Amino acid sequence: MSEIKKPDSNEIIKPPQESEKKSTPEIGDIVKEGEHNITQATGEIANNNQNILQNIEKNPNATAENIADIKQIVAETNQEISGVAKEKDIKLTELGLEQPEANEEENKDITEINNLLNQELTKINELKKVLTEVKNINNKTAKEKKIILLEKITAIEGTDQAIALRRLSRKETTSEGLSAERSKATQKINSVDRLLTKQPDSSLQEKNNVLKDKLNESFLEKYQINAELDLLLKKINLDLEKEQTNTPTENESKRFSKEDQRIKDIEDIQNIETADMAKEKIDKIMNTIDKNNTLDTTHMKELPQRILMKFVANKKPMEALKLFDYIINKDKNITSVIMVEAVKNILDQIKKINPDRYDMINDRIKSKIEFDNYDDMIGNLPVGITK
Amino acid sequence: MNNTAQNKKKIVKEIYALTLLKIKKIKNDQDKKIDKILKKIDKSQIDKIRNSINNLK
Repeated sequence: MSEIKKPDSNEIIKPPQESEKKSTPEIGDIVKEGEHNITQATGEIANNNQNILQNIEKNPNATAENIADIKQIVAETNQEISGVAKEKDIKLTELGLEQPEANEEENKDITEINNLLNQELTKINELKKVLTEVKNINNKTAKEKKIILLEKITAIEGTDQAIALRRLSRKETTSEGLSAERSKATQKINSVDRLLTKQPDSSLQEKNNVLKDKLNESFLEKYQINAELDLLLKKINLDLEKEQTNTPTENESKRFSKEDQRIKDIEDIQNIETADMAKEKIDKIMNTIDKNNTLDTTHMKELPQRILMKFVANKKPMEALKLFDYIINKDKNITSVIMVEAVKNILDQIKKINPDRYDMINDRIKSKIEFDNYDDMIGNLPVGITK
Repeated sequence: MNNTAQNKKKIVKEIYALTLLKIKKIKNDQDKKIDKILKKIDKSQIDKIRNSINNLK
């Protein structure tokens, strides 16, 4: 540490305002100010990275590979920053230092997280209304329906039309629905959590736990609503294509009927109540799909995840667990956000209803998946919190 | 005793300063990597435009 030049240190560590009045700042003030500076810097980076990710996804010239590369770079940055923060904590602990007490600022954070999550829930409710409204339109063409849907989603998602356009053009709404509100709330919850690990505060802990549950519920709701919007959009797009094709060729007719079937498969999910029913359905579709057709293979990958999330959202952890076993036996890759969140939710629900079985089930899942950072990504992370 | 306390404060300040520097460096490195990708995207667009101009000639 001796290599740090004084001018640099003075530039970055501004003396705490309170301690300016004193001739020598207390060590607690230095820690408090240092933590504040780090929280501020990492918060700015998180917001900035969120903008970078949103912009690259909107960039019409960016390829899927470009987007994946940038996501990967941002993920690595987060991991490195988290490592540096841990390193700092270890050094402070070695010096026998206690962290600052949860203060007004953290309580303000709690209020802000709550406001952000309320905004997110309001958006979700508005999206639900749009879904019902557009579903019930009968006297319009597919093109008119698509325009209405586009305008309504744009109105909810803000003036940024690109978000709605992306949703409509790429037909990709089964993602986790990471909104700016969710992202900020997660960041803040994590920051309060970090503070709590250093300085336990039962009242703040309780408030933060409530918010974590709220964040997770909004995640599950957003997933469900996005899945329904996605299905509606699939239908509208297919109807639109049919409207525009006066005399379909044989190949077009075949494709239309295939897409009709894919839509029906997704609609049938509402009748699936148990893991056994899900397995039967998946096996049946598996026998009919063309493994060289990308749309078919994507459908085959998405469908089980949709059913899994339905079980999770309906708080049926044991059915979800059975289905998870089945999915994981077929494909060991569970790095998708949806699968990670599903597993975390299954474990969280088991912990609540049957705590005695938690360890056993956690070990069982751990042994089944090929995931290097299991404890870091699943075991130690609360539901709804993504890394 | 005073000296020890002063030293401790100095070390704590340095720990925080170093942490912030490291975080800044990580962010700078990240931005450089992302810039490279963005330049690549721009370049491929310029190439496309150039090709279409050539095709028009």
